[in-house]
Amino acid sequence: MATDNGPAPDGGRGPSEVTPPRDGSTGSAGMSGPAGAVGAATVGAASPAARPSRWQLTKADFYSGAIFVAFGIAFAAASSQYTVGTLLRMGPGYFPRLLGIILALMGLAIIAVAVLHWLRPSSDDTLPEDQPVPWLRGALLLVAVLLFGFIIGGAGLLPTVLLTTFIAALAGQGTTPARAAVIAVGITILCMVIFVFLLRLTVPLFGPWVGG
Amino acid sequence: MDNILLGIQTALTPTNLLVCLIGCALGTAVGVLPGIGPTATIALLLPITFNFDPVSSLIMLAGIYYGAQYGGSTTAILLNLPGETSAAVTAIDGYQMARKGRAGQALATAALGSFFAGTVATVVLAVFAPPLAEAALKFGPAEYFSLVVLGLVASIALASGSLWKALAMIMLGLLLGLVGQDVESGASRFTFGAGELDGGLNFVSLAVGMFGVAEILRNLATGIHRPSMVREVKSLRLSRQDFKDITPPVLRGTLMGSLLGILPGAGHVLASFTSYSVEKRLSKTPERFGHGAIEGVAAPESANNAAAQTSFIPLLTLGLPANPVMALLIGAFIIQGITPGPNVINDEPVLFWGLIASMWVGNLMLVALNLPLIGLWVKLLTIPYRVLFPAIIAFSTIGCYSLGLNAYHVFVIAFFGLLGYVLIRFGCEPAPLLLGFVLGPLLEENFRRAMTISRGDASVLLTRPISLAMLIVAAIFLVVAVLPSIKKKRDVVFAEDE
Repeated sequence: MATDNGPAPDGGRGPSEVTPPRDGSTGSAGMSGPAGAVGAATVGAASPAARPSRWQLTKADFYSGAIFVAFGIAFAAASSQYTVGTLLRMGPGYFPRLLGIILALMGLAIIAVAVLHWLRPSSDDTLPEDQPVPWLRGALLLVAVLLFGFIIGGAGLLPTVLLTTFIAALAGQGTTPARAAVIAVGITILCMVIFVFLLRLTVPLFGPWVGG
Repeated sequence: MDNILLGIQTALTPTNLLVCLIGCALGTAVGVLPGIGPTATIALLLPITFNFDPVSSLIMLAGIYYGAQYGGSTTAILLNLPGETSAAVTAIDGYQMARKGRAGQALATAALGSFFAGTVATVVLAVFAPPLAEAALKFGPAEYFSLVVLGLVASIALASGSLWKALAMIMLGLLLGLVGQDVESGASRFTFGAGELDGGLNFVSLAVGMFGVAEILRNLATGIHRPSMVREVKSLRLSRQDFKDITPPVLRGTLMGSLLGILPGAGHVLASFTSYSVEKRLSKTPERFGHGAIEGVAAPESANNAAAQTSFIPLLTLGLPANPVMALLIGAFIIQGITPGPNVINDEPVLFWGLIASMWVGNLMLVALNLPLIGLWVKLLTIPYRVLFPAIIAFSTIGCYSLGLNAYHVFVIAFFGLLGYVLIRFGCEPAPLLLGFVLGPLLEENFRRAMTISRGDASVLLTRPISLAMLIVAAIFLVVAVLPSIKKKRDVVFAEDE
């Protein structure tokens, strides 16, 4: 479903494989958008670095399989609270329980394939995308989103947008607090123009916490 | 004929012209910018378009989609930086042309090829959609169930990556789509007693989280590469020889794109790759490919634009999304109170024909927007990502909050942003999940109805010929996707272009 910006599962593959490497900009095509992230990693892994360990090769499969098993069991278990019924008279629990079981089985299949892969790594394995996790910056970003939800009712639109964009901007690479403040002010003005002035959003600018 | 006139009248009202222009311009912008694509953009803008009437909102959202195809090729040619996956092929010869000082010719070829392809594909859409919808109207629940299964399977079979993971993502999406009140029994399912969840998980918040926030988290880790040098555009004029060279590839690319675009999944990416390979094979001088062959720009550009257009066919006739953008458009339809599917053509002729006519108008606008304003678009690349992503966050949160002035919609963004990022890191792309999410209720409804009609006999799915045929095709897709020999062959097709 490679539509657009490579939400396509195909995404990463295309650019990195067809980019003519001779122009010197290794994998620059791969750096575009979401597709790029995978693409770039593939390019990097192509260099004959240290051979990846078995765990590095298969951990993504183990983890994702486990996530699917967990979701599958959770949905199947929760479905049992509702009337399940029979094929002829299906209750609200029937279809989700069926899908939940299938999902859990698929998770198991992914884990099984990973185990086989772990036992017998092939020679042309390349390391999957394995960038460092941006723990702190990622947390800032999610905190910004959550904070918006918590304070929008009390603080009103203007203070909320200003504060949350400031926090989000801090997640940028090398963004200092001063710079983040400038970015936050700029974006807040833009948002006010678009949402309040042009689209006439009916959210109060200042909430009860700030005397609105 | 009356219908086409109706469509043109609809598309040419001042409001619709304006929203079409806004959509095309926005689409071009996000096509140019790395780090944000049409899926995220459309998700971000969904809440805003609720204020519009259905026709205008869909015209704008569609404009973003095909506008992004144009924008993606611009940066592919000038910077060897395909903003969109399907433009990756264009970058091969387009960038080489730019290096040789023929950037203008490459851009003009891309624009004219796309325009021609867009025009033809619009006609294809207008001609083939109504009979297809007519046929779909005769489908019973069993056929519809199998059709949805086929659509889901086909959408992942054509893409690369782990088939199992994609299938599991579909299942997870289907399950998430079932959250909320059960239509038949009225029971609240998986809501943890929270009333907000009765109406189901919020579609916009899920999409914004999965495609907007998760994407930012991914980019924070990898960083976004910014190009330093932009190739100069001298003259856009094509010589007579150029025209002679590009005519056959444009025609072939348009044909292939129109056909492949209908396929669910990677239709337009597949179209540009395939048409490039075909041109290379047919060429008397295949060695020129990869070194600035103008045919290598003309064919994939026509193909991907034609495919972008015809990928609306399954959406408008069957209510099946061919890709995540189409899934978002289904969401837009539903929020506007229209059920996408075979009834749209008859029940909403203004919407259907207006949308089709607007695509042609939009393609014309894109030529006008892109060629003279090329410098402006390239300037967009100077917007640093550290400014772009806080803006995306602000838009997501305000937009989703405005949906019902309910903070719950904002928390859903954070949840799916995190889940999406974790899944992406473990090699699971979010697109199948979104398709499953949109189709979950439809699949359940038709499954239940089919079972009721057949008195609980599940074999009805296999005894009704049309249903059986669709399930067989789905099975073939799966087999093809796992066969190692075919997988290898496909990789070779892509690799030989290096």
